[in-house]
Amino acid sequence: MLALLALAIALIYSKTTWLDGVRQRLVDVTVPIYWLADIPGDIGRWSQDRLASKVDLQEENRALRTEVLVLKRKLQQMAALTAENTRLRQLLNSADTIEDRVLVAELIGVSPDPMKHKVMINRGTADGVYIGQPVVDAYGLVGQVVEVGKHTGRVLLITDSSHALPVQINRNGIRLVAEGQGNLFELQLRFVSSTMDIQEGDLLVTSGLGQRFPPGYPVAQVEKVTHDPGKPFATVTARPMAELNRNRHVLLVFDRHSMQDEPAAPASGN
Amino acid sequence: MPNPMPLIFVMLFSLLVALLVAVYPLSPNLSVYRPELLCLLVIYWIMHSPHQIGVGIAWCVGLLQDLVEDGVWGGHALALALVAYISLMSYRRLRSYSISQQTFWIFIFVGIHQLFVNWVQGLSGYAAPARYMVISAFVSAVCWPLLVLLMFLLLRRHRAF
Repeated sequence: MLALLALAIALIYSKTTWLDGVRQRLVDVTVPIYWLADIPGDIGRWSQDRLASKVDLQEENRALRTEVLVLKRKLQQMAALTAENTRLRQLLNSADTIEDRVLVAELIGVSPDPMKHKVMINRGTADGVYIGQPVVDAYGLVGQVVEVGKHTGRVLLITDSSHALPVQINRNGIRLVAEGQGNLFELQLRFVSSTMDIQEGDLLVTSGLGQRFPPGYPVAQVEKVTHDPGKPFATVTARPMAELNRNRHVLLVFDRHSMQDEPAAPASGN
Repeated sequence: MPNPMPLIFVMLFSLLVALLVAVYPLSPNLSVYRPELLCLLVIYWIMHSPHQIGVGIAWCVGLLQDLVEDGVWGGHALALALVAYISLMSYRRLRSYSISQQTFWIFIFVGIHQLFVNWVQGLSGYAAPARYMVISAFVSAVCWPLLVLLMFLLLRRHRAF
């Protein structure tokens, strides 16, 4: 009896959307367990912060200063380039690209199943987070929010085997679809014809075509292109830019559509 | 039983700890080696007090694990209920076995558990390769003597076998 009941639940869960409402409501109940499981790690990080030696801190400070200097130099050019870009876009009569607002979130858990690439974050509807919101880190696209509670949410990573997103090659603008493979260090590109201009080392960025991710965020770097004469398409694998396995903080991006809907959402930085 | 309250307390506490172990953040490479502590505990508690713990409780524990792990709901519930049923049928025999024989049987039990969990997960396209299941069952079986020893120390007063 119970086995049948369990099977029925499993089927309803995986084949229909009836349980989605309950799932959303349960996010806030179940995620605190991840938070509890993370406490030992928290203590480790806390003590590392508190017990760092003065020399180490000075060293780190120096390195950060150098990095800030380098980044500031890049930013100087950025201002001019942005202005130029806006002018050119106006000449072409196309819409301005507005800078996205972001919100910093902290990871509080990762999915225990190695095949399932989901992480829990400490932001929810109370912070203006919504389903489908893009998530990035310092290096590239991380994923999108799939379930959101009041103060917590779950993010599906781009490498999950159920995830695919539209990308384009930064070098020449060719549009492609990047699919997750259930491997944190690999994305596969679908339907790459053998004659397509794609090379190892090409940067793939979001194209914005899926109406889900804002255009221009780095997604992955092409790692290997294999042409098999017997197959209609080339096999292309790419390595995600984002540090999916070791970042602690991620950025939730509020894109233009949502900015009109949720003006009250708190945001930090630009 | 002279003092049943602490026993229930120990049961709940052990299940909570097992739930925390089930979601403790590990890198994907390491989490293949995560022992199925919740499954081991359900078997242990059934062997310890088969009249208090039944298939129903195992089913509820499994569903709780599903909710927390965000897998396909019902997967762990189904697997734990089946494992609980088998161990309820055979707890007398299991009790009379030596630890090494028990460990072998636990390997089979956790293997069955993994098989069903994986089959249900496969419904939503998250089926794991077969070697993950074997590794998980093996690690869990290796953990069994440790668990028995730990529980023996914890439960001296309520010893059943």
